[in-house]
Amino acid sequence: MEKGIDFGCITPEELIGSLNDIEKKFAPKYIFVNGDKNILQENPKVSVIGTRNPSLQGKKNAEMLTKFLVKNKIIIVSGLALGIDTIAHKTAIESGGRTVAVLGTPLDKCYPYENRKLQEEIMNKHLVISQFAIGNPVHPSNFPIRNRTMALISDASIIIEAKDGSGTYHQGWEALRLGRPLFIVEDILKDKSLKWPEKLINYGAKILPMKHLEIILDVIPVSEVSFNEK
Amino acid sequence: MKNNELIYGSFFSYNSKPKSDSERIAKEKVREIKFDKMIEGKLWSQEISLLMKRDFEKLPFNNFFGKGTYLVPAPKSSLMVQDFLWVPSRIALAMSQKGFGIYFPCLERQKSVNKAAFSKYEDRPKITEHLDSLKINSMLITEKMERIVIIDDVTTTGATLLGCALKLKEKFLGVPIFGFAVIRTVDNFKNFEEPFIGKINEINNGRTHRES
Repeated sequence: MEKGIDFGCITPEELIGSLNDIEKKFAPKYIFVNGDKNILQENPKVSVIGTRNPSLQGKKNAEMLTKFLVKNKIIIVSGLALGIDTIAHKTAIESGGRTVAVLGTPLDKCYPYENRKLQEEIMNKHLVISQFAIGNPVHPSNFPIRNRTMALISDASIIIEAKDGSGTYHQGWEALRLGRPLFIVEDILKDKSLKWPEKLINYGAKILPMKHLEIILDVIPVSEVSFNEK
Repeated sequence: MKNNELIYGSFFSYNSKPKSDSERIAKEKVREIKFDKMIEGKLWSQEISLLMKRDFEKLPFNNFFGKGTYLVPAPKSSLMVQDFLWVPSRIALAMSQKGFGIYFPCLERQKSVNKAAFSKYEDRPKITEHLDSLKINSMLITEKMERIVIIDDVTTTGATLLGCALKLKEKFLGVPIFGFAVIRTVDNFKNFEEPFIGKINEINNGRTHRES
């Protein structure tokens, strides 16, 4: 990362508004931000998340879904990991939308290293946030903690594709705990070996057919501002 | 309740497919209530109980509440664990704290059913599915049970309220049972705050008809 970048530090309430007790339970005390923090207060936000090793269909679904969301003025939240996260961020940028990357590292680190340029671009033109202060060590446990924060700042979460035991599952569970809509792309159900989808569906996740993406719009805040109108 | 017919009350109304600005504003308020968001330093669940307390004398369903009323939150359509957001429970608790009745969370969902708001008409759960999926947990009754009011956040078809009522009727024989949904869906939206009393009936195919 570039030297001399100014990292701001704010509370979750300053970033997304007042929190109820359920939301406060796992909310970080502070969030470090770099970029345009107003992004989070302007439009609905949806997390697009999934595996680091997507199938061809998973990649197509991630791209198609992200384009649909951007077209409907929705901000794309993801975790800057390889695979689905990277597709979500890049498609949002290429489609003229806005995106927020939620890191599992402090803002001055980049993981994976391959995404350092993407991280810089999002910092310069969009928003990157992290709950981990500069100088903090990076542990594997940071990433599921980061997933909870992604669920917190998103009005809904959508799982494109994920394996059993994936960090994506943590975000799905947290979205359900918060009472936020959680969608699972229908194609996931074709893999009968997976155990996690049935569990999340029993606890309230909704199946998202790629032919009926409009059902997402029914459960997120009403957006008044078009990016094209700005 | 008589012959699978439930009297229910509701405080707010909204159109789930908004066309005008006022309908869009109402829908956004509904979304905030469904997540029990904060409004001017208070939770929406607390705000609802305060608004109803303020307007109590004018509420057409105010005879539901008072001494001997047991407030039973409607379970979510899905399974849940203890620290999940359960908005009907939070509303029932806030109402209990304002003297509307005794908080009595005795109903639990044993298996998930389709959520009406997310489902096509033919996929919406029938009354029998609600009955099969619900169970009543034993709880201490601390004073004479004069009536039961099932508390829900939003009613769409009315099937959840009616299903809960029929389940409770099995155990609490002879106790009058009413429904209360903070918000109801309407086709002809007039105002967000629009107190209402009406009936929910089971119709011949296991579906419900709800007056709105």
